[in-house]
Amino acid sequence: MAQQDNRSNDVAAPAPTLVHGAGPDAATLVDYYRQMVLIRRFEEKCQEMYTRARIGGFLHLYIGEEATGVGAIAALRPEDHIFTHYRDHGHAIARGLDINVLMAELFGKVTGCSKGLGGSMHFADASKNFWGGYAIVGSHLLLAVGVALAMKMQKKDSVVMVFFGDGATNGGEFYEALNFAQLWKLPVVFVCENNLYAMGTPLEVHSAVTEIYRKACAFGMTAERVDGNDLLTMREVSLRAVEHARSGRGPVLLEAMTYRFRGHSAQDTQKYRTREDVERHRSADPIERFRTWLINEGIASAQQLRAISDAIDDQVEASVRFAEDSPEPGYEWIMQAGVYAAPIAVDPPIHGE
Amino acid sequence: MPVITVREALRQALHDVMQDERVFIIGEDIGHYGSTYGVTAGFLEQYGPERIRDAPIAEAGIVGLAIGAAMAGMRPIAEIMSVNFSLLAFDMLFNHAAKIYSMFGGQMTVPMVLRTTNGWTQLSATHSQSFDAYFAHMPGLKVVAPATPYDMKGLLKAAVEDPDPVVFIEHTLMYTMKGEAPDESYTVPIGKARLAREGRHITVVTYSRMVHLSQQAADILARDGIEVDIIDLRTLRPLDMSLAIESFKKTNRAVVVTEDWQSFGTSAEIAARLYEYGFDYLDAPITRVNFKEVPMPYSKNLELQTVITVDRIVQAIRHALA
Repeated sequence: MAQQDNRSNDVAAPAPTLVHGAGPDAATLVDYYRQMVLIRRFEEKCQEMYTRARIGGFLHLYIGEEATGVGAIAALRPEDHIFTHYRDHGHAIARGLDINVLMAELFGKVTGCSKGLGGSMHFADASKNFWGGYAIVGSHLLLAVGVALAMKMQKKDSVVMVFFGDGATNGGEFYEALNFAQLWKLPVVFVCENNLYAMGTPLEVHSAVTEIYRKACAFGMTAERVDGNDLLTMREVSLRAVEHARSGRGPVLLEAMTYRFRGHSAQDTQKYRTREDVERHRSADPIERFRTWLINEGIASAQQLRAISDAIDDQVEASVRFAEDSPEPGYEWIMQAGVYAAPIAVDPPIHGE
Repeated sequence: MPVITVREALRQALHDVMQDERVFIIGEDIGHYGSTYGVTAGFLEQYGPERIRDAPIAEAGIVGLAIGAAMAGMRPIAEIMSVNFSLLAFDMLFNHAAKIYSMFGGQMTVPMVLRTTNGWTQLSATHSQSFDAYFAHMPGLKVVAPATPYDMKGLLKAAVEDPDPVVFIEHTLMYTMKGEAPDESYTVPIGKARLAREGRHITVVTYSRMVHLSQQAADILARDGIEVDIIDLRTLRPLDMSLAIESFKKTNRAVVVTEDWQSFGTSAEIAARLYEYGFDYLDAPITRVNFKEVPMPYSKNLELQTVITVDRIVQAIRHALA
């Protein structure tokens, strides 16, 4: 069982073990595999397009953390809500956003999910209750709590899941968010993706408490640490957390232990960790781990999974073509309705143009 | 028309908008304490704790939750007790409220209102500030700072009904000011200035409490035959300069009175627009009246020399006419 802590903070978390109860059917399990591979291939293609200067700005890849996002989001219903941080590609794909509109967003095209105005850090799709990626570390937690407040006031039983990193748990907004959520018993599942680094600063250098889930103790909040690289464990623990939140018992903090295989962003030279460290983590690749399990359990054959992977390669190539063929947003956006839902014309106009 | 205080005008507007079930108020000491400036006194008893939400002293949280709730279909009114505390929520306001509509390509709106108040009464350096220019600097926000009970009532309703985030700036020294306002429900449009006094010798461009001090200054000058045009901007973003420019073309002289620091403040923007659009009509340099550029001192003697007085406005107008 994953470590659970809702009372004291003096119990160290043992390494979580796999939990496989009455789980999902074979087709669903294979689909989780598909989602993870789709994220991996999409991200690899993003890196390639970034190197070829087709993608601008910052690029934060989710490679290595796929099981956390896919496992957690698998626990949600369509009417539930998601907020995430700037490393948002994986969550968007796991929520079912079309990779065509995601690649188009990265290319700055008007067909992008945010019309080419947000870029890599600001994927969103309101129609899927995917409220977007936010790039000010830790501060989107409060927005997520606000949506949860709205759900409670509207007497809906939707849950809000919000993703953030270990580096987001030291700023004041994290503590304000946890306090509000617990104080008002709001349906929030806080998912901390602990990848051991706040950008390039190691966990033990940036946080007085390195077991992030223990930070929930100050608020009397239920919290668990979970192996975020084990898809099924992540899913099961998330289901439990979501159920807890949905039942009106208040929020839950999950600490998903994971690791990003690539740098913080595409420019990162990774001086803060050794190649050996990265290789050691790579050898426990969450996708390979799940693939092996699917085959060993007889849920899918190697050929079947290879066919899925091949189809994804084609899908990713097609997303690049879609992005390349799409038009760019025009100047009229700047002069017209881009900034306000209800623009107010003034005379003389603000730019004097 | 009934004569009511600014406080009563705000209370009437809030009671009015509370008829909409999506509206709720979140802030510090708005309920159990009875409201710092009395605006929401009795609301907790009338509307209950679900909709009158006494919040922890956590300004980022108050505004952040309001933004999230607004995105999800509510119409929150976040109250920051004093504008000085709003700095703790600027990340929420600037990086989220102002950006969410545009940054995500228009998928989501943030129909929230942030009510807050300027003011000073021997509260010293950190409790006597004005950040009007900071708010008004940011694309994506709308910013209003009304001067009269009529406008307070009508603009607050307009702000709550607006689909964009609106910062609503009040003033602690105005809550007991009186003026006419009808009993019935109405809105005053955001982004429209008004002519507060008609004259012909000089234009005063101002807003909020300074409208009243400018009126007093104009009364004094009228004894000497000086007739002052006073333009009350009412909204700072988007800034409607049409009446001010029209007046300036008539009087050829202007004084800008804003209760904030001069450097990079609201008066700088207003004066720049007058220069840009009225340069050919200019008979004298535009004069500005603002806070002295010091952190507000506690000593009453020094405080009164730091803030804007009627006498300072009178002197500025005489200077601009000289």
